Amino acid sequence: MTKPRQRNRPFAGGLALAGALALGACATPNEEAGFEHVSALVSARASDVPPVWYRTDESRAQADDQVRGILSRPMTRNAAIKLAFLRNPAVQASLAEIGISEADVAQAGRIENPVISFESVATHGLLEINRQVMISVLSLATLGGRQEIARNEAEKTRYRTALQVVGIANDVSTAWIEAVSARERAAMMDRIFKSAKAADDLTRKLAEAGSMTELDQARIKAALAEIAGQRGRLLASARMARERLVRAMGVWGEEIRFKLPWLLPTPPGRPKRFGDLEVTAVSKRLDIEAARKDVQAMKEKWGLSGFTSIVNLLDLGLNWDTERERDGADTSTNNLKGFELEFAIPIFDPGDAKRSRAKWAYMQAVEELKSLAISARSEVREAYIGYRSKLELAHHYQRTLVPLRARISEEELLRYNGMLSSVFDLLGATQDHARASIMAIDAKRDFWMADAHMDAVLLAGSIAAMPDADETVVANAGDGQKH
Amino acid sequence: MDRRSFMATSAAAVLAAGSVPHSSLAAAPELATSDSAQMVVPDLPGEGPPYLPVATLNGWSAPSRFKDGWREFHLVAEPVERELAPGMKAFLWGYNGQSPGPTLECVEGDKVRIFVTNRLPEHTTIHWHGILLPAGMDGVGGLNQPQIKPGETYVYEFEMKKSGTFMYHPHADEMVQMAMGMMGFLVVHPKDIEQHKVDRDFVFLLNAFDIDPGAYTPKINTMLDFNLWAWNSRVFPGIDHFVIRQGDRVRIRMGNLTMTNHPIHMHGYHFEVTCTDGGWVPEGARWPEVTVDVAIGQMRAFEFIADAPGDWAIHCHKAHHTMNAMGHDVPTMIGVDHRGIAKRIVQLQPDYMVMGERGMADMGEMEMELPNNTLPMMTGWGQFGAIEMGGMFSVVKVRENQPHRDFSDPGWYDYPHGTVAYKAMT
Repeated sequence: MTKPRQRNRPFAGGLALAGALALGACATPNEEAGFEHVSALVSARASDVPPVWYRTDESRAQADDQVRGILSRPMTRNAAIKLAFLRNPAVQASLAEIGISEADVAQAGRIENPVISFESVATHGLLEINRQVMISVLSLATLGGRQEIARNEAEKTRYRTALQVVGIANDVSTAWIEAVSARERAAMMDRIFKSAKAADDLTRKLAEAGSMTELDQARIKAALAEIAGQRGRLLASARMARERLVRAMGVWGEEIRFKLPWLLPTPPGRPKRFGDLEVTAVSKRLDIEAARKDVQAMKEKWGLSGFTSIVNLLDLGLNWDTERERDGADTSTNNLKGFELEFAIPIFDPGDAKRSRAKWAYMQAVEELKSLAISARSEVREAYIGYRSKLELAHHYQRTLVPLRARISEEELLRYNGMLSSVFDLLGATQDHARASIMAIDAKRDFWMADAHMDAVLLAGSIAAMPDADETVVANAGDGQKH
Repeated sequence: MDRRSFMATSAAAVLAAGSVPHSSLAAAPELATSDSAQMVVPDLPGEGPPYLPVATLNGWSAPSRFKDGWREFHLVAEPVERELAPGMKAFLWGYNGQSPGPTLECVEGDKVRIFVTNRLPEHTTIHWHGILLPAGMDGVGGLNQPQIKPGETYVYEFEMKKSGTFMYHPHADEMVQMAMGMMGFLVVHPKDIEQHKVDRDFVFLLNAFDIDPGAYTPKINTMLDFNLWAWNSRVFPGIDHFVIRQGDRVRIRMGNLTMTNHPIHMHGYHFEVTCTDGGWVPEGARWPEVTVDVAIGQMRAFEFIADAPGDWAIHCHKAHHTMNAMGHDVPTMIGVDHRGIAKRIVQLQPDYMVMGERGMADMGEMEMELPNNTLPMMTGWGQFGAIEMGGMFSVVKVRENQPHRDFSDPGWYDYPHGTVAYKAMT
């Protein structure tokens, strides 16, 4: 894109001032600055991953190498966000708002083009040529106000855009967490399935040797059937969750063949320190910043409306007329110069409605900002409770419950060694161990979701929390093991 | 309160106590306790009428002293720790440091005084099973006497009217206290040492426990489902062997304080039942057995001449009584080839090993890791291989050169050439 250049038109001195003013106040769309600001806002809230804005075709090609790198390894959460930033058209659509709003800023710095009229009227022996240049003095007078408003609007748009992009990053985050944990869950369920299958195969051999009744066989088969069903369900869930990640990242074609890690990372040993949550939220959240700029813009508009509600038309015209008369062989030429001033008289419309409207729009923006701030404070408090409690729960399952089940499994083996219990008791214990592991996996997933949600409502905007993992899926099936 | 009135008050308190002993705890004989499951055969008695002391399997006889013509014993009822066999110990209740309590030995006609001190957490009494005595000395709590409360010492006094084979056990909260191992043997020797004379006299009680593998204390509510079958609170391979000199006349006496009967079978001999807790069996009425069934609350003694040398098994013939704790809800794996499945199970539980495919002999031969404080179901090694026994099983060792009155274990029998079953040439 090329920036339009201002050309100076050679006007008479009266317009030189306007020209100088126009030059000085003239702004070009500053997409670079806009994007830099948005980029800083986004990467601070998306794990330091900066967004990418394609403004030339070469820059799209450069991204291919990075994408190839991401697809060649198991994709971490940050890599997924990076891939979305590189490829998701929705991100580009959001970033285009910067271009739009910067153009609006530039536009606000323009004075209305002067209107030139040229008239030539000829009657019998009389030729009248009228030339007029009309400029809008109003647009000149309101230039500063309009620019201020446009800059605030542009600022607001930057925050809104950043919020949208961060929202996409957050969607990618939660989809990634869901996809990896669904995979981890399905793998653990597979362990339970293998154990139940071993028990089932054993019962077949026992039945062949005459050591097991049909009733006991059927019970063990029924347990296997239930577990097989759950396994199927978890496998399907894992694949659908992966597809949702594909959708969140906005990739297609070969790029949907990314690799996922087998496990979610271990939760941290200690909770993060957040400092004063409410202060941070109110001062740093993007939606609140945007609302502040909105209030600012409404205030400017209200202020400007004080002037424009009364003066909504003010044009200054400069005329040159030439009259040429032909009387036989005589030609007389008359040159006339003059000026014109057009304005509307606020009789029918004193403009009070316009001012009132602008005032209420401003009051509304103020109240909306307050409402947003109050909600934000509650949201971070709630998110923090979720964050801390889910971290503790994840630790509790991983450090207490799972090791206990492992210990039970070990003791059950010792009893089996002493011929005090059967292989089925042993397999039952391994299944219980795996079930406890699934609870730990779910708790881990819930923690990471709470972690992402905490970051979102603290620094970005009001993003809804993801629901907890569905525990009923793995509720005790296969009790038929203990015949 | 001044000193005089204090003394008067305490004397009154003693008089008011009811059963007034003319001796108090301070007058009781010194307490002797044991802290091991070693068999200790006492020497011939130093004072009083002569008798040949018995050998108590994995136990000992209580010392006695004579005071004013009375033979006095001191028993203390207390919680004890007893090793059932190497590798397993139990928290039981017993007497004088062990379960069972020490064997009390006396002679027909003795005036016997027994001090019983209670250090249990609950009250107790002692009943003298089979002894003819005044009803007030019979020891049934609530019926014959107030129970002995914790901390108290009671005195039993009676004359031994008949010689024979007897035992003692609590008769207060009886089921619990016997489940916890409280019992002891009581032998009354004949006044005439030549009557019913033998060269070796072995005594033991049959008892049973229900101890979960990994636990130490018996379950006291169990009615029938015991899992450890013991002689004198010991199980194979922890039961002492019966060491006998070839040619000895041997008597083996036993009393049954379990909740079921036990057919006790001795290999190698035909023996005669010569005594019960009701008295000596007249010569013409002594019936021959190789297996003598002892019902609950019964006592039997049998005698034989040990003329066949060797290592002879002696055990309860109920096959599950010669096993230590077993699992009962275990499916039969015989004939089930599950090695293929075993590989998959190992992936889930790395230390798993196939067991039971060829029977249970694996149990005896493999050294597997078991729960804490648990004995293998079948165990023990002889000179030819695994013996694969547990519970009520021991060995009668008859040796040509065993010295008189010497009970030290001579090791395994040196079988003469040609007298051992051999593999046929194929």
